Amino acid sequence: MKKLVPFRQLAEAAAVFFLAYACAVRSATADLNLRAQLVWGTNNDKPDDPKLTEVDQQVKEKLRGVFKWKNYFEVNRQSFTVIASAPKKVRMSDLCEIEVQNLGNSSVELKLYGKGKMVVRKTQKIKSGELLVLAGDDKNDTAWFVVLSLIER
Amino acid sequence: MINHETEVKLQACLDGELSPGEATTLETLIAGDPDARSLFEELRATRTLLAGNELDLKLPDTREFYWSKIRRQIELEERRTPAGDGPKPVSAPWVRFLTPAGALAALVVLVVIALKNSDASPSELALEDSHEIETPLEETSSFSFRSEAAAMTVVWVDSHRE
Amino acid sequence: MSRKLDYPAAEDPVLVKGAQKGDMQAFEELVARHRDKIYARAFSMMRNEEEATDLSQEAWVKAWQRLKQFQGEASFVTWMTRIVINLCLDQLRRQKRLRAESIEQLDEELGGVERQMPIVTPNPTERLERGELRQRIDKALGQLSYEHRTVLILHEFEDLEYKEIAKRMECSIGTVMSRLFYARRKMAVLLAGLKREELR
Repeated sequence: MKKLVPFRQLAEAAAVFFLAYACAVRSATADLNLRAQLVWGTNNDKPDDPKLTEVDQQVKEKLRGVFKWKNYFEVNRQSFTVIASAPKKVRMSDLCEIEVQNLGNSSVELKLYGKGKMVVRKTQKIKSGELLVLAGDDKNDTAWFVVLSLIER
Repeated sequence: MINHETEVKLQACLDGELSPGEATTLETLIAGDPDARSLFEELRATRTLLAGNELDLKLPDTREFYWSKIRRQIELEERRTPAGDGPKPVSAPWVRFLTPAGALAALVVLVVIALKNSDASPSELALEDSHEIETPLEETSSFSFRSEAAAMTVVWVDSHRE
Repeated sequence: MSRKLDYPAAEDPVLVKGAQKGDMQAFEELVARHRDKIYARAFSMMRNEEEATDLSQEAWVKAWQRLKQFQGEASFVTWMTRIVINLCLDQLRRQKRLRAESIEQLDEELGGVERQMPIVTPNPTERLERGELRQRIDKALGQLSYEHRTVLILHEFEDLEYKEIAKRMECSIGTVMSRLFYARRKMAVLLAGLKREELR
């Protein structure tokens, strides 16, 4: 008579399998710790609003490396965590909001809202040390930037 | 006092725009008329001063940003007029050698790479070339480009001004 | 085995040939190489950074579309410059329909104003550092009307003949001659540091 596979071993194998699967799923949809900065680019030496300060050196150098403006001032900065199941809306200014959805595997969907209307939607993988930037012209030959980056923990 | 017609002829003489006969007549005038000579000298001095003395200007946009806008426009135009005269962009020499069997082989390779990458941790993942971008408002358009040097992906939103 | 092209080291004709066959990287190298010159020409005519950037971009797009027509009869950069000049001229014509002419500009257009200017001798041996001279020339150019500045640029900096300028500006040769005459006289006054008001 053939020996049947013991039930106990089957149950252990199943438990190991589901545990491994849960870990894999969890790592694929890990929470994302993000920073969003609203930045204003200008060739003026001082910002119109005296309360604004220069954006951090690293971001300034990256923006200067790509765009023509001389100076970059931080209008707002928000740090937040985005879990897989819930998009996060973040207010950057009176007129500007972003919504970030964690798509898993370090992909995000970034939506920009201006005056309540969606202006642009971008899907992008986001990697440590890299920036995802939404940008556009502002009046008087200045520009606005929304800079999204991963926060190192 | 010389009339306006003669004044512009003096200028044309300076610029080599007169026939040989007319040029000789003007040269005689210049030699004999102090007003004509003074005007001719002023025009010549101004021309000398301007020659080669244009201001050197640099385009304010960076190379990547400027090129990304041009490339995007080229691609948009080509989508509008597929049978146009312009050269068709070729991204790499090997593209033209792809046969259906080769395409299938490439697809298999891509699938294997994608499966391998799905095991990597988030910090090791490289940014993909493929991306999705949507600009729903009529009055805006956008394009995306990547700066490797700045490790930055940019979406530039254009609002169409009147 | 085909050799990969060293784009930065390749001469223009090689890059143009590559671009004509669809090599975008070759075209991008041409853009990088000559973008400042094309932009500078657009800016000199439009006197507006944003417009000059837009028009120079448009010129590059048109150049890509027309590359097959370029046979090498002139240098590539000369061919490109012609494209951007034509785009600027089109734009200036569109703007002229909307632009309110100032009394002074109308005065210049009608002619005769240049007669009020005395003969001056801009001193080319004056010890001006070259950069400063160029700045002064640029500032003086900014004080001319669009029509006078355009004809001066096309003649003095692009070496076009009267006939060619007339064709591009869609006016008579006589008009070109008058505008050029006025422009040169005004430049002489401006570069000598005199103002019209001081002469009355």
